[in-house]
Amino acid sequence: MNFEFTTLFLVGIAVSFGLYSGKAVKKIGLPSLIGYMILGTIMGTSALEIFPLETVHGLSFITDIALGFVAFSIGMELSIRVLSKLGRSIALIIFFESFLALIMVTTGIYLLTGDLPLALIFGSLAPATAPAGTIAVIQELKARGNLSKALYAVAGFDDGVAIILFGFTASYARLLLSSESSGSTAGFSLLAGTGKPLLEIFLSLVAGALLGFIYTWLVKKLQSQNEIPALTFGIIAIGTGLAAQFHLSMILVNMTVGFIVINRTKIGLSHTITARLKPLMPILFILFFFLAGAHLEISMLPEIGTIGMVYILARSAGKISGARLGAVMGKADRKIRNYLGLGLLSQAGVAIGLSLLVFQEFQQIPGDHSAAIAYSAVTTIAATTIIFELIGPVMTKYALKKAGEIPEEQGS
Amino acid sequence: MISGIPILAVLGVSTVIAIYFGKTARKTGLPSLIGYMILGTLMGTSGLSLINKISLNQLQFITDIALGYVAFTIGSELNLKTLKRLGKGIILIILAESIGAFILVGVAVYLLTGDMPMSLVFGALAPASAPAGTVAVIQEYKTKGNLTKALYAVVGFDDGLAVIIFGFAAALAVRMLNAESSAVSGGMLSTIMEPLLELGLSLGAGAVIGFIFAALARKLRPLNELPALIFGFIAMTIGICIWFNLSLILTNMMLGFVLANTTSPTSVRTIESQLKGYMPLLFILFFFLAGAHLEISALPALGILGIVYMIARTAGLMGGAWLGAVMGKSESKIRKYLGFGILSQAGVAIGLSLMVQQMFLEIGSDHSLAIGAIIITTITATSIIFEIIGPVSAKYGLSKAGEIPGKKRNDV
Repeated sequence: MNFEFTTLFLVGIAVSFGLYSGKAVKKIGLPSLIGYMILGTIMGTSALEIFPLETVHGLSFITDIALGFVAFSIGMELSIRVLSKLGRSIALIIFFESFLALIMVTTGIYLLTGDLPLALIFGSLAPATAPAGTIAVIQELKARGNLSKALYAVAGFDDGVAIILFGFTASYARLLLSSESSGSTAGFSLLAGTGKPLLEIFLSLVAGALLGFIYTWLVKKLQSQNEIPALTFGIIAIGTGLAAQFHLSMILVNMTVGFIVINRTKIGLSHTITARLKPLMPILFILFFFLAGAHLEISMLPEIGTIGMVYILARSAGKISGARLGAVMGKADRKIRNYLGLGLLSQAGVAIGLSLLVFQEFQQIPGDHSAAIAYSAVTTIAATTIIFELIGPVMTKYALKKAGEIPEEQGS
Repeated sequence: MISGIPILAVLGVSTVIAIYFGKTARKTGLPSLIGYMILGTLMGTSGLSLINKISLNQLQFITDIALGYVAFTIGSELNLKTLKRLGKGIILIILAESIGAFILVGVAVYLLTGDMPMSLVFGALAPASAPAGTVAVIQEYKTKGNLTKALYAVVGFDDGLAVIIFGFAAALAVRMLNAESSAVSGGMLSTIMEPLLELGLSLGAGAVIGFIFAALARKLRPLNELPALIFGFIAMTIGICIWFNLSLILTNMMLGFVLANTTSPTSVRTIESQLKGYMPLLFILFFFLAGAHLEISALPALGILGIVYMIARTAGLMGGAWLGAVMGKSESKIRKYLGFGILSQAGVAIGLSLMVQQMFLEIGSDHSLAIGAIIITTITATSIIFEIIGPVSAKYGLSKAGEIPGKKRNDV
């Protein structure tokens, strides 16, 4: 009884108070998730200890299914229809800025820590760009020209590449950790070492695709939109449950479901599905950042500081040089080559969602190492998001100005 | 448990299949929830045992949250204007159906067994109705009209009266049994005060939380954060109810009631339409789990006592509702059909019978132990029947009253 009280009551407190701490933080210009985290930290293990770890573990059922929803909705961003419309040079830019961000961050963090799974995870989170900040700046300044157009396309659509890179990199890191925690390296041949991860990634894709096809087949036949949440819940629960059972990647399975759904349904229907799921998202985001905050140990902060610095520098370097490389190869015009990368630094929604997936999935791998990576990923991404959200728009404005795309009469 | 199939996967598969069981049930003219329950029974302890008792206990919070949402919905449908219009009629109906069920069952069981304390306890359990079935039917068929409104009010508020009747009658039964075994019969007053206190605290706590909630909900922008606020408050309220042993139904109902009566009708509509998107999923989970809880093996224990109980309870509830409606001069369709909508019996009654068993265990005489055992098995067995009859007859009543859109009133 006692346990039940703590769980539901505290979940209620976390969600309703979290909502307002998010708003409070937003008033001073920070992303609301920082507010959720601060509340979690205050109530969690570092301070008041109202929210003990056992309670958090008692919630794993809710958090599992919730993260399945996040993975699913991220997968739904991957529309081939949209991606295939991009021009050759835009595609090259997206590929290179994403890929170089991944490489540089992975290398940077690896040189700093010597921890390969950790470095891979940070690398996999680096490519995602938040278009909202960039687009807001373009619209506010009424910027016009080739650079503005290219920014729209790149910032808007690099999520796809980012998510694919994430899916594979994170799965690989996860497998490194699982094999490390399953102990004895004795009899761990090189072939099994690479064969098993690939097999698990492959099986995750197959399971996700299968569920995705079942979902699209069923969702087209539903008579009432009110049945969409039930069907979605069911399919995601199956995907998450199967992933747990067969040691597949929960992220990859549910993302693949979303990917199949977005590409196998008509635009109208996929919009309906997204709209139906949207009201859930604030609950999930609050709950997760709250829990992440509850886990946070203040003593870890200095360490996060160093990693965060390296992450920010490496990611910026990767984005800027990658965009330049892509622009050169795609023979884009000079101002795109010189300035586009500066407009791609924002980081928010997708990166945060992905870090939550890491948080959830890696906690479940036995061993302290994966748990440490889980906390480190979610807190560092949250912290660096603040920095990137501050410098992102400033840099975009600078780039647009240098490229001469801000109309003179606007410049006041 | 057949094997280690993860509970999440079982729940996921069940949710998807349940959609189609529901559709099949509807084709045969039954409410969908019957389909969900049948599937639950097949998967649950009486069937394939894919879901066992341990998992059911872990999933208890889903049932609690669903019931919280049901109660909240009931409350939000009850605005003071409607209540005033239905007025005296509703109060008389609630009094008459609850007392009618209490008296008829008490008398019938006494005539059958000649056992006074046992008759009292059976009578005390009879008024408790389960709102979820009726609300699910109302929402599924989108019924509209005065009978629908009256049903919301009756199934919501009669929980309060049921608690009081139970408290008094159980106290009396305990006193008799104590006198029999010549034990110290102290605390008569406290046993009577307890249910009154429970009722008062439930309504009071619900009202206080409701005012805070309504004040916040009115000001909340953007509106897509409302589901988070609602979820947070319902979870918090359920937590409080479990902790302080309050009525989950009454407290959450007050939450909705205060909101509905302090907020502009348009905002209430927005909230309701956002809720309705998720109710089908909650209903599937709720009734699926209810089905999984059913122990068909308890059915043979029904016996003559169970049959007498069911007949007397049905007659008491329906006769009482009719009498109350006549005395209050309610309109003809309420008089004729309201009784059909209040027959469900489920969690509340089973919970109360567990409480009886516990109380009688403490008395410790042979007689009290025997009654405790009989009560549990009989209430469990009759709940199986009432959980199926209840929604079906609710649908029948609503359809006869012409409140199911698209169906003509055919009671002439």
